[in-house]
Amino acid sequence: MSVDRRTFVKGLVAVALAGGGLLAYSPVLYKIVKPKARVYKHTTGSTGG
Amino acid sequence: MSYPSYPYGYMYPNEVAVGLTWLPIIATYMLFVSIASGSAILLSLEVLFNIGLRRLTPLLLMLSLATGLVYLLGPLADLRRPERAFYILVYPHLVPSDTYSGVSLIALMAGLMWPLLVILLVVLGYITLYRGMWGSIIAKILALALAFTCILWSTYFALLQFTTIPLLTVHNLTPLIPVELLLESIALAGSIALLALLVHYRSLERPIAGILSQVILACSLAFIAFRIFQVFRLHAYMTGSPEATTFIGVFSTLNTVVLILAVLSSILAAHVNLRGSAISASLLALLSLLWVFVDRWLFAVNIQSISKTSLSVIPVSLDLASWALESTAMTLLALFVYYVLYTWVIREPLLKLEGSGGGVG
Amino acid sequence: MSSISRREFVKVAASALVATVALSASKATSREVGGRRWAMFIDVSKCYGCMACVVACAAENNVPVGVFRTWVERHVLPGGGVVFVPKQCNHCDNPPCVKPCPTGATYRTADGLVLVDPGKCIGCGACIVACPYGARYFNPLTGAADKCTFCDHRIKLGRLPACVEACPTRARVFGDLSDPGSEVRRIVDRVQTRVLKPETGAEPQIYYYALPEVASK
Repeated sequence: MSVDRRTFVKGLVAVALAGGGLLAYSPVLYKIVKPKARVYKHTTGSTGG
Repeated sequence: MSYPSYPYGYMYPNEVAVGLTWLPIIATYMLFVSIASGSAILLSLEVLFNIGLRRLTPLLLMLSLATGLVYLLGPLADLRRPERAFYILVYPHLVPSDTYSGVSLIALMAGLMWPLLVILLVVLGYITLYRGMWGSIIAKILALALAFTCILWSTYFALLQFTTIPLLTVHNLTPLIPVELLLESIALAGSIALLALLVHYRSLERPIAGILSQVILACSLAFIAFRIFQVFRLHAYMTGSPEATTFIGVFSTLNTVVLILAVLSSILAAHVNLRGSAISASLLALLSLLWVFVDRWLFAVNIQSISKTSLSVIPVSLDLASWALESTAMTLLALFVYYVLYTWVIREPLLKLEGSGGGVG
Repeated sequence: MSSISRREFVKVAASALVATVALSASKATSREVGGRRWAMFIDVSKCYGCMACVVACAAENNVPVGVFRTWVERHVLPGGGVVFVPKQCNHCDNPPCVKPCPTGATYRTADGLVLVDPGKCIGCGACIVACPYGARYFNPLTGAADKCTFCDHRIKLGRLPACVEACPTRARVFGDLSDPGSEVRRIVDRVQTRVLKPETGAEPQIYYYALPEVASK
């Protein structure tokens, strides 16, 4: 199966746009997948009084 | 270890710690909302009233879909826990109760209105562009629903600010801001559509460019009138109070820039209407983008930096690098969607309408 | 097929009625129990800015450095005098922060506490923008919105909130406003109090005594 040059260029432009967009958005994507901070629980420690 | 120093003026310590709650990416996000909603409003006006933009409709649909499909990346980048964004769909706060009073506009827009908008756009695009049912009652009903939803959508940020920001100075300005957002959205979408028209047809199609420039001119003039009236209101009723002094301090400079850009846009729109030059049309798109963006920045960043005490301005450090990256990402992905739609999806109706020779049926 | 006499029918109907009434009564009682209204009274004239409440709150609730569940404002009066005003979440009756929350992470309990479920919060910040009192912040550790809970984990056990317990001058009084015998109710009934920003319609539940105008913004 062969792809003509015009279709190839079109595909390349589409991939470049999507790739560039995803690359620029990667810091947010990283925020989505990175390990999360531990949620601290309440304590009933002594506070005087 | 260094501790944060407390700035001068009466403000709450948590405000100093948080800085801007909604990050500058919200300004870009609102710009996308304006393009998406404005294009969809123009599209629905064509279906409803046949205003002579028939050959522009595929471009309007693509503009609306391209920006409307990626615009939620803006608020996603703004969330502090973006991995939980889907909770809006899982636990949407849409029904008021004693425990959860009120209805969340964010949930309403992201969870309900956005899917509805995309469905309406796709269905309306299909039955008009592919099936040619321009005059059918179904198309008209869909267009009416789309217009109504998009008018709400274009004014969304003003409604959100009105219902959340507890500052009376902002509320004093707010009554006209939703209308201004609507006008800006239509003017901006019109300008971008004009540019798309130029790029697609290699020339400004005379009847379409004429109608579009009239719409842009009318919207920008109405915007200028409303904004000047609001500034007059602000100065007439509130000058002298410490709250107004703070407000005017963060509002006036950028507002003047917005007004100048809006005036320049209207002059260019008039020029496009009279002469129809490609340069003025391109410049108009650029200026409108700038005008609306600066206005969004004014409301998303400047107004937000006013302290809840109304008496001081919170010192904010803007992470412009993140903003630039995220805005670039949104723009590239919108261009990607537009390109895919243009190249593979809406090609056929575009060619069909090109062949119709500008017929307004 | 068995048939029942009119007398038996009346008996069954009467017992069903009694059972229904009893059930409703028990519901009413539990509503009354759940119908507490936690509130706080703050006597500004008694606060001398020692910040014990701020420290106690931070220690009790693991509040990170830089953000505050409660803080003490220092204001200079027009005459030159200095006044200290403790502030925190007002646990409003009509809380503006609950309405814009898209996921229902912020909610109001039956006894009037406005709380945040950190597991449901997506960090959109709408509640932070909406709070007129600057009482909310993004917790730097969790990314979720955070604020004073009136130490709900302590009051459930019959203890006082940490800030109240730590206050050396008893400037803060905490209790159930719906209980006519409670100290907070007796004080609020007796002295002239003010709330912060009543114009917002939030119906805050922290009642101030001797609050100067300069500190009421």
